[in-house]
Amino acid sequence: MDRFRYRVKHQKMAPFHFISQLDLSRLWSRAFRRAGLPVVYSQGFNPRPLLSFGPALPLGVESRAEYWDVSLSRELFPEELLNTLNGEVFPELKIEEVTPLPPSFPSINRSMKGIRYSYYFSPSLKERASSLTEEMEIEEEKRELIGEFLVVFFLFKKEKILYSPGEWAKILEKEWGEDPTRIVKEEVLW
Amino acid sequence: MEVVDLEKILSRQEMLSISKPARYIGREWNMSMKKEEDVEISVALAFPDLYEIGMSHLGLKILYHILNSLPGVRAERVFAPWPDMGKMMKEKNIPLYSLESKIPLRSFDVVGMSLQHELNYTNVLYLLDLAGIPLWSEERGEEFPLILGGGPCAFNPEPVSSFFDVFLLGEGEEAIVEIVEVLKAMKSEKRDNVLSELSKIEGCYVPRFYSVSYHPDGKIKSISPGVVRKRWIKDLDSAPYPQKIIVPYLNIVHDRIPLEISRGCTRGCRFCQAGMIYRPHRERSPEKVIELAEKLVKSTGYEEVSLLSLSSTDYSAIEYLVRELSFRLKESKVNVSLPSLRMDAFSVGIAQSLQEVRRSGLTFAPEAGSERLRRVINKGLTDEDIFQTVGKTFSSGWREVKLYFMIGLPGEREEDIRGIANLVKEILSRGKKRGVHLGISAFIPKSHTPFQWAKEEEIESLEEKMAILHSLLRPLGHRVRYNWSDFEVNLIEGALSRGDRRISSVIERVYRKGGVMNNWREFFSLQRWQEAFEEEGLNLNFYTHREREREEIFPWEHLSSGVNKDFLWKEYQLSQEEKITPPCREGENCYNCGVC
Repeated sequence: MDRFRYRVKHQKMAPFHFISQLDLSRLWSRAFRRAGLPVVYSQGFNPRPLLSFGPALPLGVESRAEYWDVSLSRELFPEELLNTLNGEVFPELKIEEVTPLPPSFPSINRSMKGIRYSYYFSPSLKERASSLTEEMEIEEEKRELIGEFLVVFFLFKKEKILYSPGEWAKILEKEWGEDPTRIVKEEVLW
Repeated sequence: MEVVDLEKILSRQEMLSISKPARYIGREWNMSMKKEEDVEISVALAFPDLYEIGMSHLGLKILYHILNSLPGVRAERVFAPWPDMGKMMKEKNIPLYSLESKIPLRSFDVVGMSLQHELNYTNVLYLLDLAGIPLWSEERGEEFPLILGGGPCAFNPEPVSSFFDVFLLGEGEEAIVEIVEVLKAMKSEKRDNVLSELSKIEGCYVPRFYSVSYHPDGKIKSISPGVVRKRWIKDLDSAPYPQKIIVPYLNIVHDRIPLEISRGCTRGCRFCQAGMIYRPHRERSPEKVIELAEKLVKSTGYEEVSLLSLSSTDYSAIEYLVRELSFRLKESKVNVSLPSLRMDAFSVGIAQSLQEVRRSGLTFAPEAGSERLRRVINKGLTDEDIFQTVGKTFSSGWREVKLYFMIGLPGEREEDIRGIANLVKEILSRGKKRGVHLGISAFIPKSHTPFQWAKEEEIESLEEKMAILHSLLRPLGHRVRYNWSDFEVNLIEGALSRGDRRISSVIERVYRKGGVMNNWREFFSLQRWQEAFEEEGLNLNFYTHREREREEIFPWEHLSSGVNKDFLWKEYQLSQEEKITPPCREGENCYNCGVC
């Protein structure tokens, strides 16, 4: 059977940051069935659309860059897949991009190099925070302040996880005595 | 209109400190959002239980669909928060709100609550309290919503009658429309006038219009005025059924498309309240079921359709329906499942023809351990029926059967308890490498059944029976798994099932002592209930461990399921004579129960 692989990029903005990875996989599986898309199902008594996800996003973290790969049994234009699926989900889960993949293309986990997250803090923290960041001496991370939120680069380096976004939040909270109001996964670095 | 924006009130960290925050965010696929300017009357469908349980309830889906398809009517959902969230809401002054528009519950015109289980009664108060609505009907001013109750517990709602303004007895499809019409037309009128108008609708019971008097010994002397008769739908095919249902994100208890194929049951098991109050037996045509299944799969994307009824293999076209449905849904990889199997080879054959079957085991309910006791309860299965069914289950490839039994049934003897273990032993000897899973629960006499006169067995005696079972089942080894219900919880369920109006104050006391989510063992405390009964000067045993006389006036005497008391009494007498009453069918085998 022919298989056509696509990499799908979508958002997962509030309030959907409170649904788990498992919930999300069910959600897409049902969206595919509603849309009647020719998705390839797993074998067995409870067939599910074959979706392969990247690293799971922790609960409470929003994302502008979630990815999964899917196989279809019929070739579709990427825009067709994108538009059809967007008709089946809320805008906070909007699909941003669909890219056809060659069959042997490496998985999301194998192809990604890093993830960039934004940590949002209350504006009052801005002054205190800038001095504190200098003292933190975490070599690989670049830091910069934009407006009222702090952006942290490269939580991944090569294939080694340096910090999970939750751990980072804890470090920042310890230093600044304040918890981020939002954490957003901004992009995946390939 | 005030809107509760949870994310503005609670920090990210606070949201994450709550278990499963997804319960509280709403925004599920297919939910209904009406524009503010189109809303003339708003109804909150408030379920006094957790999201995962309330979202699994078919009645809620049906009423949600009916109400939202009426012009000018907005229906939104509210569920009981888990205690961690309830505490957070109290601390932060967050009023209970609807999941759709996030509107506070107290600003709705009507709050409809489905009463599925007596142990949820304190959750009724929990919801009202979190909403900032006074608990007692009498204490509520005109500015508060009208509180409407329904569901199986509405057949004896007396223990919670002080908290509700109106109850609807029986099926709600037609009556809810009539109720909403009255409320729409009388929006600016005084509550008492509205209630008086509502009481004219068939099936509507307004407790404050009824007075109850008691004998010195605590029994009821009289209830007046007249009798309220339940509503039921004549034709299921023309009854409204949702073609779209809300698709949750969380894995709810019944996370699939519910397709009701029939209502009522012809079997007449004497312990079974559903078998009495949902009479008569009616079927939805297979054509209609198939049409609904296809539409619902398209609108939800669900991977499973479940055919609901009290006894699915009693549905007349079950073979055709299962075959046709499985065939049509095969391509979209949708499974068909069939709960409530009758215990016979035919049912196993049907189950075998479904694709999903191979998962685990099949479940049956022999209910009692001996043929004699099964005659007492009118579950006319012979031991041989049971062995053959289980034999076919094993030979068809299942590794395990799950069997439900009750203990503490009227007329039960030690030999009946031993009979359970003997059945299991025989089953194990017939199926090598196969297992038996037993679910054992204490029998609770329910209103509107032939056993409504019977006494509920004491905890000590139930424990002695369990001790016998332990001694007989444990030596059978790992192929037998079994669990049993919590007899303390059962005791309270029993008291509430046959309770009267005086119990309202007990329920309030238990709630004030912190009793919420009493259907969860971790939150249940028998002591809390015992104290509350004592403080109110009421005797718990009066409601539970007491055989009633034929002439006793029950707290639900004025509420009719259509089944008459003489029929129930006759059935009770037949049970003592260990005589069976075969299933009823329209036109043949009519026992004049009074419903049709």
